[in-house]
Amino acid sequence: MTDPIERIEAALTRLGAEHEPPAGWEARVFAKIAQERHAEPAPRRPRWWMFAIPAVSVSVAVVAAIVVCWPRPDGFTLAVTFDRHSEVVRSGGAPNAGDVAHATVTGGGPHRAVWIYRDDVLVTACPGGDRTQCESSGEETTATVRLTMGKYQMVALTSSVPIAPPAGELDSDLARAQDAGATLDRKPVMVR
Amino acid sequence: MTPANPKLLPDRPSGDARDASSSTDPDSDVVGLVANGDMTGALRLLMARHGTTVYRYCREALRDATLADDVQQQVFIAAFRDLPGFSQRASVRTWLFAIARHRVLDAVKARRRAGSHIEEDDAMDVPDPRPSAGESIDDVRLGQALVDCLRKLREKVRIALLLRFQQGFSFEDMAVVCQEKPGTLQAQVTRALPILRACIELRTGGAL
Repeated sequence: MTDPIERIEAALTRLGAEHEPPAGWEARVFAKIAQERHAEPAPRRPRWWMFAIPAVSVSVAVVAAIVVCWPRPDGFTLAVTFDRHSEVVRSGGAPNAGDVAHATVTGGGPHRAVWIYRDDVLVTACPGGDRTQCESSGEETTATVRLTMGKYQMVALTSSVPIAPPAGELDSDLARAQDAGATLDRKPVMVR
Repeated sequence: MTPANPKLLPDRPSGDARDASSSTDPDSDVVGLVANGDMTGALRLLMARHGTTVYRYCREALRDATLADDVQQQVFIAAFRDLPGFSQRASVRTWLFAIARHRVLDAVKARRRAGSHIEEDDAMDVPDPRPSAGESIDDVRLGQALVDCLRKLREKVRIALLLRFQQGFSFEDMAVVCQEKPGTLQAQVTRALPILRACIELRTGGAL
């Protein structure tokens, strides 16, 4: 006959074996990490020229237009532009950490959305995101994000039906949107 | 009720326990990814490898599925934040469960402050039908009674029991997780087991 204490120990070993974490929990972890990162203030790096220039404006707004060349018959396009906040200029116009990216979807069907991912994890989604990050007017929807190091995917979507909000993970979000009939356009942006 | 003959438990891991005292950490590949700066990859591996066990630990410690889900996520968010500073003084798994234990205790305190003592998983607690005199308790009834009796223990004792048996940690590793001496934890566990036995037998009316 098994010792009673050993039976209890064995029962403790089995405790909770029937439980599994809810589906999609990993994506939610990454989404929360992305949200926390985005909420962090951008590092301020005082440079010698910031003291030389009069305090009227210290940010140089140089707009480098990068247009994704996949025009759809219905005029559906994704355009990504950058506000530069660094004196470092990279070849090919690639942005730096600290620059602000604006991803704008134009045209297409009655429903439009812009989703921005960093390292495959959702950073912001418009519509539905923070007011400071999203702007919609007429035929355009724009998502804005301050860039940190990583590989970004700017994704534009359009559909004749409402677009379900993303769960937080790039591949599964896009697969779900396409299954629901949305047309996608995407552009990678590498930030070093 | 005092134990007639308290048993000193050998410090043995059980189940799928990983031996933290071995020279090679089973999660050394996670450490490698961290060293290469791939925090995302390291986190993915941690979640794939330990996500379920951390969840089950939180679920049994908190007895609340929703809270356990939230705390589990907090554990891995904190792990991601702290990975760059991981010092390898303990195994990755031990380090991870130290985070989990802190988060669980924080959740317990927050729940107590909020005045919410209802543990969702016990909402349908139905008294166990008593067996006939002399009948021993089967494993199913034992498991049900064990869950109820664990609730009556102090959180730290309940957590020590889960770490020792559900998760299979040695007392040395538990000392790192709980920031207590191994002997203290061993004594807590040793004292708790006869108390659980008495509670289970009282609750079920049967004999183990």
